[in-house]
Amino acid sequence: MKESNAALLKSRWISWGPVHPASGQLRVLFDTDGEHLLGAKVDIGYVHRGIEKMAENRFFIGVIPMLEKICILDASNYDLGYVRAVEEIHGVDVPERARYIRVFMCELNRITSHLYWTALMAAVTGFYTILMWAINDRELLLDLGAEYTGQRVSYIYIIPGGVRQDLPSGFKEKAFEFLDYFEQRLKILYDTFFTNKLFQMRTSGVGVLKKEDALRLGAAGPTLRGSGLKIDVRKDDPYEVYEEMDFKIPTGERGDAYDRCMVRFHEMEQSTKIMRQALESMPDGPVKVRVPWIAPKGEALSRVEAARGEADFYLLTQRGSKPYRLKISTPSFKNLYLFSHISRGHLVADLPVLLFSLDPFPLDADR
Amino acid sequence: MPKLEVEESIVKEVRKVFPSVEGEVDREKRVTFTVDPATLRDLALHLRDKQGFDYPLSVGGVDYLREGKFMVVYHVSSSSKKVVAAIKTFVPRDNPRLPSLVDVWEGINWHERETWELMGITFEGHPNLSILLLQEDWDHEKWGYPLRKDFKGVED
Repeated sequence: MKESNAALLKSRWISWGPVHPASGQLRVLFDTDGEHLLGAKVDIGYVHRGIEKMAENRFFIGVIPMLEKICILDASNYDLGYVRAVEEIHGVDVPERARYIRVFMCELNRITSHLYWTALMAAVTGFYTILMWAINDRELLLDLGAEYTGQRVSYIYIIPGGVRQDLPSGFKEKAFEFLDYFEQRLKILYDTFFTNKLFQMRTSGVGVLKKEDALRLGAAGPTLRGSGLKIDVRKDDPYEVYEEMDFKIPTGERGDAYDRCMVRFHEMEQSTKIMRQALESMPDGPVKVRVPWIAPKGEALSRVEAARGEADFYLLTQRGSKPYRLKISTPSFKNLYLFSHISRGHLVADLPVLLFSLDPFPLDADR
Repeated sequence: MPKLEVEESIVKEVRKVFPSVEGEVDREKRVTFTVDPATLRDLALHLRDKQGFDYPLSVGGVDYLREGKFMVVYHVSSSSKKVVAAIKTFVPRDNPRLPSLVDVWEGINWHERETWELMGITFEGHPNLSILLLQEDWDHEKWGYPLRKDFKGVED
């Protein structure tokens, strides 16, 4: 609940944020007895931009750049979710080669997003060297994305009917070169950070989310799988060419912060595998088909597994050039709801670990 | 195994228990039910307890200004059957009230709250219908609900 500042000053709730205290633009409110948390809750809405409303006043293609700003760390997945909804309404068949490029870009973004999270998680647990390493490796991966699209983070390359351009010549070699390098880096990250005794002590047993609670409370993505549930849209409701890819869904057992962290780490390994397969089995051919500007009347629910979890795009159209209604359900919105549940009975010092184990992105929650 | 077997059996089972509910298979892994507000809760409980729809995805409102009604869509997924059900219900624009489903799927708490503050649909029995995304002093009486089609924007 948004309490006015005057009311907050009188209450016992201590406010962490919303002016970026490393938490992002959200506010964590907590009540303590000494250093024990009596309760904690999250207050979102400080970066609400009304993207669902703005989408109703733009042409179908003009919505895409805006959607990337929901979660700029993970742009391709959000593009794909919306674009697939548009394509379903039009009944368009996308060329095979474009599907492989889409999968490649989505997995590339999954790794960049997880690396960004690794950096934040390392910072809040005191591993500043790992922060530098993760950001550096992410930068190299962004360079690879820029080699293809010309942009570092905001690609706008997945469009209704395919992708904007074909891969440039010599791209595959560069990509394989990066993947060789990155697989070695992942091993080093595993040895120095993810199996580090200090990191394990800070995260083990913190913020336990039981299997049944995870489902009931509607957790998403690595947070859900950290609790031992094998739920992943890429397997359950396969889209593009994920059905042909050989990969595993990493899951945790205890559902604590450590398990959630390890799920994200293993997902990076699986994503490199998928990127390799996508490049190797990519057929030749065209990468886009024309999609008319005017959409027929229709509706579609498109689900994608973004880096933070499942994002749902529910698109309704009346005959016209703009969406009638676009409802976006984002993973951070689902996961931040859990925060007051998982923070029960912990210490104030655990707050950053609790928060970042959910990998929240306030812009993603607010839309 | 013939295609759409699971989807068709879900719809058939629901139609047997609730003859008034319209149900159809949209495509693979998608079913839609259209229900009147009075039966909404019973259908939700049936889907959760008997059909394994245990994982809520989203709640969204749609404004049909010309027809004078709102549509509210609940999307829930089944972790065992891997099917998503859309539950649609219509409420009149001049009295948009629905029973809250928070006690059925706790995870839709914030989703219903958002639908209330942006679309103005009251979920009766919701534990905390208060401002979540909008600014804390948003005046619904004066400025209205942003996602409605007749929302004009806010004057300074």
